[in-house]
Amino acid sequence: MSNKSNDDAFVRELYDELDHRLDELQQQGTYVEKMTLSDAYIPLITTIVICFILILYIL
Amino acid sequence: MSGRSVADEVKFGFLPVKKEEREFGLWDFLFVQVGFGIAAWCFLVGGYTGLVLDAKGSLATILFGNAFPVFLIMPIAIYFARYGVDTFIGFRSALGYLGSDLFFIIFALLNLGWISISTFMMGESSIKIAGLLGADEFWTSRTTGAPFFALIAFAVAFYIAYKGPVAIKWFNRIGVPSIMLVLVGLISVILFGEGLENVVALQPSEPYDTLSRSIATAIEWNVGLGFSWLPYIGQWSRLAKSEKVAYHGGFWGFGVVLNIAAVLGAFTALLVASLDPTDWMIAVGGVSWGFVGLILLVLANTTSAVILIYSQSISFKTLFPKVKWGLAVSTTIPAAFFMLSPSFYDAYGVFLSFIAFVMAVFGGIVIADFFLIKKQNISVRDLYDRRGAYRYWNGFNPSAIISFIVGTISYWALYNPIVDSASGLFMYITAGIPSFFVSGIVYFICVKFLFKYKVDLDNSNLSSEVNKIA
Repeated sequence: MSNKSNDDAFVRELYDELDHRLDELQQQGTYVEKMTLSDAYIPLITTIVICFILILYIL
Repeated sequence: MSGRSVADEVKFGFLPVKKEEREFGLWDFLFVQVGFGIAAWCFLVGGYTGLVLDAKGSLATILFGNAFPVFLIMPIAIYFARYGVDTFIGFRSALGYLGSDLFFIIFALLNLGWISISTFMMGESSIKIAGLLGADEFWTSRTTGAPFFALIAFAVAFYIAYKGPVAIKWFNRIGVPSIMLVLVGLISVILFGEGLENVVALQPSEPYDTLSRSIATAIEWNVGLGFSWLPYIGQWSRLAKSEKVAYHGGFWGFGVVLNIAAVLGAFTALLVASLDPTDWMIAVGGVSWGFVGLILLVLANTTSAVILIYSQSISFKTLFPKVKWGLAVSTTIPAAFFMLSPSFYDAYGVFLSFIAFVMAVFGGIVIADFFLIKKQNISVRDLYDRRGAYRYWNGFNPSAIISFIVGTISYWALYNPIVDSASGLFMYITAGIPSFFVSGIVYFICVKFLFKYKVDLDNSNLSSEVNKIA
């Protein structure tokens, strides 16, 4: 990225690759496995326990 | 020169990350988050907490103050893991193109604060080392020596960040183990030196008039740290191999594991009756171990500064790929002004409360937008097209603007961090967490009843045009 023409080539290459990836993503919808609500229950329980710890301290 | 490697990083930051390019499984993700997260700010927030609460109270407020906000904002990790985009590109769907740019500017301003906290703590460590070596007053004073060493640390960190990711990788291999050694040292002192029972029996040195005020204020400081991860969630989550990894890694890393450093900080502050980690080293380790501890703090804080400078520069290049790398790194130079005196470093509690206010309000908006309004349907093509569906009103989402204003009013009505003045309600509900809910609810109401854009109403068939229908 030392001069203007290199910069232009870099940006052009970047947007070409972006187009390619957006097409791919449009077809697939997502790149990775989706998470469900049930995957969050351990963090939920942990947060509830932590809330109880605070309540116990206050009381 | 680092040109090619920086260009690769910008390309990587700008483009949606494909599955085969993603490096982090759960454990990798967790380690990276902890390595990035455990730093000066954890010790300091622990130190502040230990100054106003006893050990049990510190433990309860640190756990709650960090885990609860992280639990509230971490679902946004799903967005970034799903589409592989960077934070400031992803937030365009909720804030608008210019709104997201404005959020970047706010992030950069707050990041300057984090940089100066890290470098000034390095300066504080250096003057204590200078004191041990018998240096003149200029080198050992908080008003002359500490700013001088902080500016030197900033210059070094700036140069390493400018050199790019290869230099940073090598420097990280020194800095991350350094902070871990400090942790091990503090654990040893507390468990084997002083004994946990003695620490639990200690009373805080500077509590507020009432216990409820101490608890509420300590929660607010910790909530600030908890919400502060919002702009960083996207940067890491897009590298996770699945949405579940991003969510769990973020929650356990930022919400739970990081608390170890903050709790150790609180316990040490109780022992030493000082909130500043640079005071702890000699007080708990004696001259020899204290000297080693201060050297480790110098290395760890310089590393934190490098990461913060690099993170801001890469985000800037990702938003504006045509800008020169040198200019992107130079956006961090204003941080130097905060290092010229100890005032900013001493106002860390106020800074944390500011973070709590800003990030809580933005957090409420982006969570409400992605889960309740967009129902997890985003047009990634429109995220990259500045004339696309997320242009809203001249590049800003009016619902987000109204929510930000109302969230701001609700925060400042509950608590004014500048003069440390609290309303009666603050003692029961604090300020950052309710502001998260206020901004989220106001955003939902504004989108549903006030500013109706087609992209918010019919997101199953996203159009590339701005279609305001009411």
